[in-house]
Amino acid sequence: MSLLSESGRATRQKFLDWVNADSFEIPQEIVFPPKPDDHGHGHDDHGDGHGHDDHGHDDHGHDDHGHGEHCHDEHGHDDHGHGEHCHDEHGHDEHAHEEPGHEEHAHEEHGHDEHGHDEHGHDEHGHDEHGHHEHLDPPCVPQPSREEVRREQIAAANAKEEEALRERAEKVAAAVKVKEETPKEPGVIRGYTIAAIVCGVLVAAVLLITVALLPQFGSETAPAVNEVSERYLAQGLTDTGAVNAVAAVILDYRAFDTLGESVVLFTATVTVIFLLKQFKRRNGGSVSLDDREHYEGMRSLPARVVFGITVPFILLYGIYIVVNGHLSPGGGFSGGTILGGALILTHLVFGERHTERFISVDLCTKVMAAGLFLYIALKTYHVLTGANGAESVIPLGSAGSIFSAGLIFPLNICVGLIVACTIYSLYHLFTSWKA
Amino acid sequence: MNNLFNNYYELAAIILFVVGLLILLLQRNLIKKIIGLNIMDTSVFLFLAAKGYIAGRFSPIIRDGATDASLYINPLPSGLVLTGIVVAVSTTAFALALALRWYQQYHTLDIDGTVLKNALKKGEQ
Repeated sequence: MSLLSESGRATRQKFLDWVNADSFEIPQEIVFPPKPDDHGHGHDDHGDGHGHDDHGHDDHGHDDHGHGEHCHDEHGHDDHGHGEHCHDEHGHDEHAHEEPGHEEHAHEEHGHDEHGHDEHGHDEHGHDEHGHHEHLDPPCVPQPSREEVRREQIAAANAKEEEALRERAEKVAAAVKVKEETPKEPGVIRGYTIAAIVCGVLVAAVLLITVALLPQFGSETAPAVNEVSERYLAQGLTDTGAVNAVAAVILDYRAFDTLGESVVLFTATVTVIFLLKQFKRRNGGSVSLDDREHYEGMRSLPARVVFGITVPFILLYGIYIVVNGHLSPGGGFSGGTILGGALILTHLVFGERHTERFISVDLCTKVMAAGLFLYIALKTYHVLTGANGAESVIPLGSAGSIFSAGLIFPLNICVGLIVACTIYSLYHLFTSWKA
Repeated sequence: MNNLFNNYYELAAIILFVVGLLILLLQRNLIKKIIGLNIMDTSVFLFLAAKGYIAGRFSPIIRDGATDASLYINPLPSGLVLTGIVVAVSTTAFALALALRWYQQYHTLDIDGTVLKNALKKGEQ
């Protein structure tokens, strides 16, 4: 039994293929435009719907035998003249006129010759000829010249587009060739590999010598155990009111460090949003949330029931970790990660629509910005009142109770919100990206 | 030499670090390079956490108001590990987003093949 839905499994398979692939192949979505060899197929694709080899030359033959004269059209004459010209060139003229049975054969040859010439020029010519005869022959009504001009323009545009597509395909093919040919440069590759291994061995040797010279693991006399950490432990409770010494260090003594971390998280999220949103725009025009294909979630009933029951408890546990950050191991970062994990689980099991009822990437960025500004405001207040809580209005409270440790409690909540939103929005951005 | 095996946490951290470095240098798949980078991150966290440990002491949660520093392990490396984890998550997310853009552009995750070939071509000219 698979826990993933159909689309989920497909996505996973795609990802695994992508990651595991030793030879990176161009995905199937990229359709190569036809090459000059199968030219006739290209014509069919463009909607002429005309069997090139047979019908075209039948028409041509009819022209020669006087059907074109009924039309009295400039273009018809053009075709006629052109055909005659070609006949002269290739010397099939006499042969074709003398023996009617061989006429088709001759025209076929002539047609092939014409095809073998310039693809680009012939392309336009072929389009023109076909469209013209198709419309002209049965009713024999002269067409306005505007129509022809438009037809020519369309044909030219088609040819241009085809050319551009072919160029792009050639570029991609060249890129693939570049990749395939690389193993043929063994000198550089082998040199790089040897250099990398030597580098790794050197780094390992230097670091192992360093480890051998380090003080013994868990020793009390190591230089890392100095007056700084002793001060944090001895004075931490009276300075900050936090029972958890690590929380006192990261949110009081070294709170600017934590502010920097939060800014790094926020910046990373914003950068990923920028990088992946450009993707969407380039692929499918302006993609709004409603147009996009939504992830439906798991269809398995046991999964929905089990996770429907457990997700609230996971959220509760995350909140517990966040608000008890100054009393027990944990804090904003660990609790925020648990909250983000619960949100990811909700998205995974119940689908995108359900999750976006209460949280989306837009809301996440807003919450993150709000959390950062609240953090900055609180720390500014803390610094302005002497940075040691002496002049602060906020009491430190009694050690061990939930409303204690002054500003550490709200700062933990800020950090928890930022981390939860980062984790969830990163997951959402990466999974909603479509190649 | 004996000390090398007494410091087994640091030894494991070094092994992980070199494994991650070699993955980063030798793998040609961008995603695998990022995985190697993450293994290096993890080894640094292990090293820092190991440096904070002091044998026979408690975790740095003040118990019953006993603020004697000789009772608890060093709280500072724990805070540094926290910073490291956060930065590692951010750089990983950024690197993965860039890898997706690379894939969109070149239809391959093989970074050495494309870059090296282009460099060679330029060198030939």
